[in-house]
Amino acid sequence: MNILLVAILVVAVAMFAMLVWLVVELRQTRKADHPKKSIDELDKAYTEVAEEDVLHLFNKEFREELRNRGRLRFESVINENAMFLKHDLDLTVAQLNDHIKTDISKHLQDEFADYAKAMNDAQSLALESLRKTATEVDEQRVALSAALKQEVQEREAATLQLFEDNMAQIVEHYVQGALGDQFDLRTQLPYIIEQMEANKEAIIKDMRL
Amino acid sequence: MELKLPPALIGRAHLAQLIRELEAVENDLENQKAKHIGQTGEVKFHVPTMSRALADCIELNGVEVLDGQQRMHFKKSLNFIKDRAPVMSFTFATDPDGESLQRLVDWVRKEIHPGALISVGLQPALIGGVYLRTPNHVHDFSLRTLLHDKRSLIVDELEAMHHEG
Repeated sequence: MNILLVAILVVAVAMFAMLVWLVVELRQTRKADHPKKSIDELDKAYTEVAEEDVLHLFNKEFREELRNRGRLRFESVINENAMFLKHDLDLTVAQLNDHIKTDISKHLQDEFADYAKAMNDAQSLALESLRKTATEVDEQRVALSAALKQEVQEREAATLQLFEDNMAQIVEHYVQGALGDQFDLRTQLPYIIEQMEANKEAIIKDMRL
Repeated sequence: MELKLPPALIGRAHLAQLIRELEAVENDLENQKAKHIGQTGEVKFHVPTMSRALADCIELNGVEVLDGQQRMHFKKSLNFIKDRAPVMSFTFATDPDGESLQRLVDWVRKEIHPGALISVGLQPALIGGVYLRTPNHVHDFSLRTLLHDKRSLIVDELEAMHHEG
């Protein structure tokens, strides 16, 4: 549509130029043929001549020639414009491609950078969290180990204390059960006399009071 | 007169029984004497049967049973000992047999006090040994106390075994 409009404009311009050119030629011819007249006369004369010859100038052949010239010019202009348009279009497309490529690349690079940064941050956070968790677990393990150790020591001490407290009774029961009546006084007499011998002085002193 | 007590005479109860028996002997001899009142000539008194403890005691102290004076003195001495003699109270874990008891009494009277009397008790919880009470003191020679006092030895041994293990 635009091309058609441009072609019409080009034809109209061409026809106006031809008309101007003919007017100029005619005035030169008349200037040579006739002596110099006043401007008003000349204008009047020219107007009359133009009015008379207008039909002769734009006859059928001339119009056909003009049409052919216009067609050729029109095609030439169209081709030229098409070529320019194509060139511009190609240039624009190329620039657009470059721009899009650059923009997309930049955008992708930015996105990748953001993604990498986010990944690094997430990785750092995860590492920090893991390190913190490991530290806490280690601390808890140490605390648990200490608590268990203390608990075991306390239990061991309590058991040992309980054992010591009851050991005499246990041994007494055991010895009593094991010896029973077999451990008669005859067997014990040497021990008894030995003990009394060891405490003889105290016993004698007490008996004399 | 220092009275010697035979090993068979152990405690105050025995001594009281001995005194009663001596009184019975006296009564018997008095009866015999009463029966022979008015008789002329030499009167032979029959010595009544006595327990071995009394016979031993009389023999040990050289007392003439038929002599009333000596008998009276002997009885007085026995009563004195019964009332005043120091008593050692022995508590055993098992029932003591007579022989062992006599050996113990013999040792006590030889080493501690010649007129000491002994009372015997029974306490199985002692396990062994003796729990001795003198007039003012207590001497615990029982196996129970010995084990209790030596408890640290067992603990040390157990700990040593634990460390070796």
